[in-house]
Amino acid sequence: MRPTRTALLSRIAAGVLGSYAAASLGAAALAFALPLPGRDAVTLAQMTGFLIFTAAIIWAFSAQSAARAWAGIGIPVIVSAALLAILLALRS
Amino acid sequence: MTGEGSLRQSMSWLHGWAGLVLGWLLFAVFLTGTIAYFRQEVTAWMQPELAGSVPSPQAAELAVAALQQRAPDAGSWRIGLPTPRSNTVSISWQDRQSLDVKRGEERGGRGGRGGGRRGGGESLILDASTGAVLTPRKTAGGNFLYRFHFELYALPREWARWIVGLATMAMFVAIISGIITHKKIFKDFFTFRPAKGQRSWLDAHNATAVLSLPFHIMITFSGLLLFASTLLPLTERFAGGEDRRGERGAARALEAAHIESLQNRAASDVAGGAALAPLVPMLAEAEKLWGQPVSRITITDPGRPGAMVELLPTWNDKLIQHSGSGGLGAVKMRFGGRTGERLESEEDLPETLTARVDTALGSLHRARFAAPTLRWLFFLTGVGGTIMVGSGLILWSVKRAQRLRGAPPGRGHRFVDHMNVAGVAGLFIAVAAYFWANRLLPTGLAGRGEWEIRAFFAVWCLCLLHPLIRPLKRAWIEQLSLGGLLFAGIPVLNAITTRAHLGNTLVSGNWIYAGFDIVALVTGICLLQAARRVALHRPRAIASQPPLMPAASAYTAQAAE
Amino acid sequence: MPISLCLSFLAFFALAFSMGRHRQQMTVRRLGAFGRFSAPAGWGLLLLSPLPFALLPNEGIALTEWFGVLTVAATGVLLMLTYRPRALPLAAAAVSVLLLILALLVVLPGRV
Repeated sequence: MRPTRTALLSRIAAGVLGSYAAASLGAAALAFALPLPGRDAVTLAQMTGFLIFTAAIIWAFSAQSAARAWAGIGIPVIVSAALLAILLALRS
Repeated sequence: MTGEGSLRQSMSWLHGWAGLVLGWLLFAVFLTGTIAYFRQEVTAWMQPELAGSVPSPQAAELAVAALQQRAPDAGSWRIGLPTPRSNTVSISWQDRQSLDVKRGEERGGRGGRGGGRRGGGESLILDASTGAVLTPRKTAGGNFLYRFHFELYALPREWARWIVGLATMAMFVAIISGIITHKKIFKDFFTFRPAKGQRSWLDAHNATAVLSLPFHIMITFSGLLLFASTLLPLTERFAGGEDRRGERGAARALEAAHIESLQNRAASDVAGGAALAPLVPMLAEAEKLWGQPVSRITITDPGRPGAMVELLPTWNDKLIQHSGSGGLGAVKMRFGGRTGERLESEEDLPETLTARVDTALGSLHRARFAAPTLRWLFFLTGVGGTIMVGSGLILWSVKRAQRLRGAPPGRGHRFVDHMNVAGVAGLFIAVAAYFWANRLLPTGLAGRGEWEIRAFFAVWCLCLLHPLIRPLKRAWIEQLSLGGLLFAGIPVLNAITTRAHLGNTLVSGNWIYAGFDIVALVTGICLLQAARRVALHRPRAIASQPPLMPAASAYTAQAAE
Repeated sequence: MPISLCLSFLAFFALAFSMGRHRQQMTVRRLGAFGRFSAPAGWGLLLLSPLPFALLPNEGIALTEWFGVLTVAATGVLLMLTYRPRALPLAAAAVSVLLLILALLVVLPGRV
């Protein structure tokens, strides 16, 4: 099995941009949703965000195919974006 | 491609590229960050005019006398006492008007960052046994290296934080993927086979990585958290950033009211005379309670009935005591200025578990709590981390050179080779040049600190150009030798240009200065030894060795196609 | 901290001794009783090595120091294995004596 140049570039895009989106949106949704006092929700969300980032990058490069890499990252991105949108709507 | 083997292959690929992409920046961050553990000591060394000051028990009294003479009507005085990290006394004061403005803001719950030395204040450095005013040369000091390791230089602050933050993220990914790749962690625990080309580089990389793995994980993850507001700004945007500012203002207003009530209590106590009570008994009381000496004294309203003395210890003694920009402040003791009676002793710890974990990680990263022995341990593990990053970069190059089996390297490979020389050996030269500039630039030069920094970057740029006109191996040998000579020459240069040289500092036990010279000498010797090894190395000796990670190489070859 | 350093140095020495390749480096031919027990002894000593820190009040900082001590001790064993492998058993013996002296220094003032 030999990855093509496009497949590799696609993985890199998933690993860098996709993972960042997952971490950023996931952490933002967490910071919103966590029922913790004061600064704690933000801090805990940030810590988790970096772990999401790392896990997503590792997934992007270890998944069997570029398509699976994207799926594994895209779904969490969509879920956390949706969650964030709902929470924002609820607040306003 | 499933199963354990392929995971290891892909992680090996990821490890190599995540480490390389911002690897030279990471090396610079590790090197300057490691030096920054001794930021204060480096700054002291860069001001040799201060070396003659010897800590004495009268330091606090001398400081008060100097302040009484220069600023009897000031709104507040601050005194920094000698510590194991500084042998001088620093004094500063703030005018009543500017202080009143600040207090007004605090009462209103507004205002900038408290405690800063804004307009209307002055500061001086005194000899700790004579009280004489010392006028050190201007220098960018250890502070430049410290700032460089997370804000680089001359870039907009947010940009620089993004760049270093992404490098930190790449480092974290490299650590995790490296752990997954390296299956024989325990079997190879003690293995180092020197002078065997690629195998030695791999051993050195593994050994430095594994032996201080807890440090690497801690320093990288806590580094990420320090960049969190830059890298993950959404978390703060949606989760009430404004509330937080309001909270902080409210907390400050509460603190200001508290201090005012304490001052009123001190003022209403008629027992004290008009003058300031002697500090020495207060210092002794605090030292007895804390088990460590006082390092900082703040006297509010020194000339008035409500005078109040605030003492801070030398080190934080818990990881969960916050160590923000001042490094101290979680633990303090307050005394009535005229009565000398203790008003309160306070320890301000974060309340929740999350806040404690966060504070502890920040403390570990900054290591401001670390007394000398532990500080040295941090420094040594930092050196280990620097070697890990450097050997990783070189390993990348060496591994590919071997796969070429003598064929000329491609453009990308030559670029990496070139950058390795300038980014690893060249950085040592640049740092050494920074210290040399400190000793050689005229002491009266305007913008002296800036010139030191210019020397650093100018020399680094030259190191970047030098490999263009020299064969790779010669470039390595020449830059390592030059770096070695410059570092080893620092004690000599110091002896020629100042009186704070080893001949004096070793005799008087002035370890801040002697320590710097000795570390410079050892660094120089190591670099010269490295240059000698490169010069003696015959690459043919390794040509017959089997490739070290055949699986990983195959994967890279595939991926590259 | 010095006691913990000695303990962890001995621990890492014992662990290295339990690995065939490193024992060869030290040119110890006969396995002997210690050879058989060196692995458990190493792990045991490693477990003991943080105890001196447990006597101190600041557990967080003590833990930090322990990690630093482990790194230094393991680096020491590694460097000796590389450059002075035959002197390592001797060094371990010397460290044992040092450990005994240090331990006595800690215990005795309490008795007197």
